[in-house]
Amino acid sequence: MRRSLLAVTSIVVALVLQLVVINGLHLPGGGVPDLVLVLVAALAITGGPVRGMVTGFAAGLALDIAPPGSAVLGEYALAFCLVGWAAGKMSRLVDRSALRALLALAGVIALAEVAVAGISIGLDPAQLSLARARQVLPSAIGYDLLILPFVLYLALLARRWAEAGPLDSDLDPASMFADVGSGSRRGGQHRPRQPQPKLAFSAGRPHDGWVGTGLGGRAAALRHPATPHGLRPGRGVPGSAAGGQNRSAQPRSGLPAAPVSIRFDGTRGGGKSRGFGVIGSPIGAGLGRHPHHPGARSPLVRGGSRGFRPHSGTPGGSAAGQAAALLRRPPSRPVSVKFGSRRGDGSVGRPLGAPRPAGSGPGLAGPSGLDRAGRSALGLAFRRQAAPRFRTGSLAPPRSRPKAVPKFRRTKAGPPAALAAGFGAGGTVAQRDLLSARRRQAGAPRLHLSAGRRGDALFGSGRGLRRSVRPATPRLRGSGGLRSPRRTGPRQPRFGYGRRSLVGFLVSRGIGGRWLASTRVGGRAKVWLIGRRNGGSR
Amino acid sequence: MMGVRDTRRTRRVLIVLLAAALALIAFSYSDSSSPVLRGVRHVSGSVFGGIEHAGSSVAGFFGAAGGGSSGQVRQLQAQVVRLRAELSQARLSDADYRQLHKLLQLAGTGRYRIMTASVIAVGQGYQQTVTVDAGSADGVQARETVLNGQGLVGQVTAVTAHTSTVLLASDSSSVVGVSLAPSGELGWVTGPGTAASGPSGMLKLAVIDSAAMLRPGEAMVTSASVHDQPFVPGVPVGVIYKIINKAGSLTPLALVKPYADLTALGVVGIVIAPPRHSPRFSVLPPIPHPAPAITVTVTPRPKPSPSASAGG
Repeated sequence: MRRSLLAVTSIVVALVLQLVVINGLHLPGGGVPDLVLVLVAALAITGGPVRGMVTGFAAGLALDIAPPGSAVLGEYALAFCLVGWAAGKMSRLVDRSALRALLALAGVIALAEVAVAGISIGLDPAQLSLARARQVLPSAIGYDLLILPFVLYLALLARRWAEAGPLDSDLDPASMFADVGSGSRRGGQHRPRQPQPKLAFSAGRPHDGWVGTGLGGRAAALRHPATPHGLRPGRGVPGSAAGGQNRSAQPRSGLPAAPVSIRFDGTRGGGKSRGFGVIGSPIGAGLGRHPHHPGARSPLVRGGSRGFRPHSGTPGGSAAGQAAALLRRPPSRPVSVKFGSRRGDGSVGRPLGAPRPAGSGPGLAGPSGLDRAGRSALGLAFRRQAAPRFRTGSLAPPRSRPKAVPKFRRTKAGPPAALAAGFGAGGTVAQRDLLSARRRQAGAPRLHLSAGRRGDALFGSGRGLRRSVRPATPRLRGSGGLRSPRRTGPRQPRFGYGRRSLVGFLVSRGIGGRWLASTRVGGRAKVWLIGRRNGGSR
Repeated sequence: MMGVRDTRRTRRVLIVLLAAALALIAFSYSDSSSPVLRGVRHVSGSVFGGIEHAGSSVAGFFGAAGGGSSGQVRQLQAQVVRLRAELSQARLSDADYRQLHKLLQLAGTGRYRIMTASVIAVGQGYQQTVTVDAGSADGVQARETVLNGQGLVGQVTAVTAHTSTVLLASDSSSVVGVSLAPSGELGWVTGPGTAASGPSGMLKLAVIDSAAMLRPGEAMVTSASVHDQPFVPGVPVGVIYKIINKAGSLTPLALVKPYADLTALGVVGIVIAPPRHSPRFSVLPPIPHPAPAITVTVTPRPKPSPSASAGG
C-alpha cells in the first residue's frame, strides 16, 4: 500500500517535472532525458515484473493523456508497459550487483527510447522523420543513462523505506514468504524482491524443494485439511521436513498455539506436486560422526515410519517454515526462524522449545526419522531488511563461526536428556521429549543450519557471503542423487509454460549467462534450490 | 539466473495490459476526434493541467531564481535567498511584461483580438506541442492561431476547460500557408527543415510558383485560411534563411528561420477574433536594411590603471 502510494506519487511528480521543466530544456544534442521512462524502469527493477508492468502502463497512459498529450493515445502506455515488464524481469539483479542492474537497465532504457521513436514513426510518419530520430536519440539515451543511477538509488531507498516500517502493519510477511516461495502467485500481493531472501525459482522439478509455500505444499495441505500439523509422515525424504506453511489449513486462531510446525510432508502426487517445502534433515545434522560429511548416511536415522521413504523426496530437500505467520507476533515470538544475513546464519531458533498452550495439535510429533545429516536447512523469516547497497563488494568477512556444519546447538542448558538420547539413539524424537524440552525454557534447542559443506543444503548464508569464499559455496553433490548444479547448467523452472520468452532468453544468455549458471545455486543467496532430485530411488 | 520467470499471472497481466494499450492506440488512431477520447483528454487536461500550472509557476520561480547561493556565509543565506526571490519575481514579471507588451503591440498592429496565455507544459517525445493555460473557459477554441510577440507560434489543436494544446509551427505535421512579403508569392511552410548543416529550429518553405525567385532575407506572413482557421492572415512567420535547390525539385525550396523562438516560449496569444481586413504585411517587423552583419572590433583605449589610482 505504502509502496503503491509512493509509486503513484513519484510518477505524478516525475510526469509534471518532465512536462513542465525537462521537455522545455535545451540541452546539447537536441534530446532531453525521459525521467518518466527512467523512473518506470527503476521502479520495475525494484518491484518485479507485474508491478513494473502496471506502473509502466499507468505512467505511459498518464503521459499520453496529460496535456499536451501524445498524438496517438496509448503509445507511451504500450512502450512503458513493455519497459516495466522487461525491467521487472531483471529484478533479481538489483539485489546482487548494482553495476549489473545498471547495465541491464541501461540496455532496457536504450531499447525503450528506440522503441518509442519506432512507435512514433510507425504510427505517425509525418511526425517524426528518421533523420531527426537519429539525431536526437543518442543524446536522449545519454541523458537517460546519466540520470539513471540517481533514480535507481532513490527507488531503492524508497523501497527500503516502504518496507522497513510496516513489517508488522500492512506488510504481511506471510504473503511475502508465500510469494517468494510460490513464485508470486498470489493475486495482488506481489511483494517481489525482498532484498534479503533470495529465494529463486530454481527448482522446477517435481519434488524439488522450495522454500516457502511451495505449490505442492499448499496443495498437499489442502488435500489433508484435517490433518494436524506436525511432523507428518509424508512422502518426504528421510530426514526431510516440510514447513507447515499452509496458512489456509491452519486455523488462524491457533497461530499462537501452533508456533511451529515442521512438517514432514509431501504428497504422493508425484509429478504434479512441485515444490515441496522440505526441511532436509536438519536435526540430525551435526550429531553424526561425520561433521564434514553431513550428507553421508547416518546411522542415526532410518526413518522408522511411513514418513520417510528414501525414495520420494529430495535428499536434503528444502525447507519451509512457519515463520511467516509467526513474524506477525513479535512480542511473544514463539519461534524465530531466522535467516540471518551472515554465513551460516540460517538458523531455526528455538522452534521446539517454544511455549505454547496445551491442547493444540501441531508440534513436532510423530516419528521423526531425521536422517541424513545436514542436507538442508530451514528458516524463513527475515528480520532485517537489507539495505540496498550500491556496492559490489561484500560485507565484512563472514563471522568465524564454528564450522558451517548444521548443528543442533543448545544455547543455554543442555537439551533434555531424553531429547539428546532420542537423537543419539537413532533420531527418533518422541513428542513428549520435545514437549518436555519445550517446557523447559532453558534448553531450547537451537537448530543451526549452515551452508558451506558439501551436501549441505543451504539457507541463510546471505548477503555477507562473498563468492570468493569458496568453502561456503554449497555444493550439492557428492551424494548419490544429487548432481552438481554447475554441471546441470541453467535450469528453467517450469511454471506452467515450457517456453521462455525472448527477453528471458536474452537476459539469461546474453548478459552473463555463464555467471548466472554458476550462481544459480550458490550465489550469494544460498537459498535457492535445496536438493535437486535426480529421480528415482537410491 | 537473472530474469524472473514469467509466471502465469505475469503473463496474464502483460497480455491484458498490452491488449489495452493496443486497443487504445487503434481506437485513437482510427478516430482521433471521437467524443470519448475528447472527454478523456478533457478530464485529464483539467486534472493534469492544474498540476502543471502549479508546477510551472514553481518551476518558473526557481528557474528565474537560477543559480544558487553556494559559498555564502550561512547567516547571510536566508537574506540572500529572500532578496533573490524578490529580484527574480521582479525580473520574471518584467520579462512577462515586456513579452506581453510586444504581443499587444503586434496584436494592435494587426487588429487581432487575442487571449493571452502562458506555456505551462511542453510535449513529450518528438512532437512539437505545448500546453498553454487558457482553455474553453477563456473563449479559446480549437483551430485558432497562436502567436507571440515575434510572430507565429502555431495553432490550437485541442482545448480543455482551462488548458489548450498548441501544435507548434515546427511540428512535422504542421502546414502553414504563407505569402512572401514583397512579391506575394504563395507557398507553405512545414515542420522542421532538415538541413545537413546549419542551425536547428528551421522551417521548410515551398512555393507554388515554380518560376518564383526566392532570396534569403525575404519575410513571409500567413496567408488567409478558409474562415481564418486555423491561421488568421498577416501573422509574421519568418524570413528565408537559405535556398535549397534540390535537383529534380519542382518548386524552389528554402529554409525559413521563424521569427518566434519556438523552443523558448513564454507568453503567447491566441487569436480569438480575426481582423476584419487582412493586415497584409503591415505586421511584419521592419526589415533591418543594412542587413549585413557588422563586425565591430573594439580596441581597448589605454586607461589609467586602477592600481595606480588605488595606490595613490
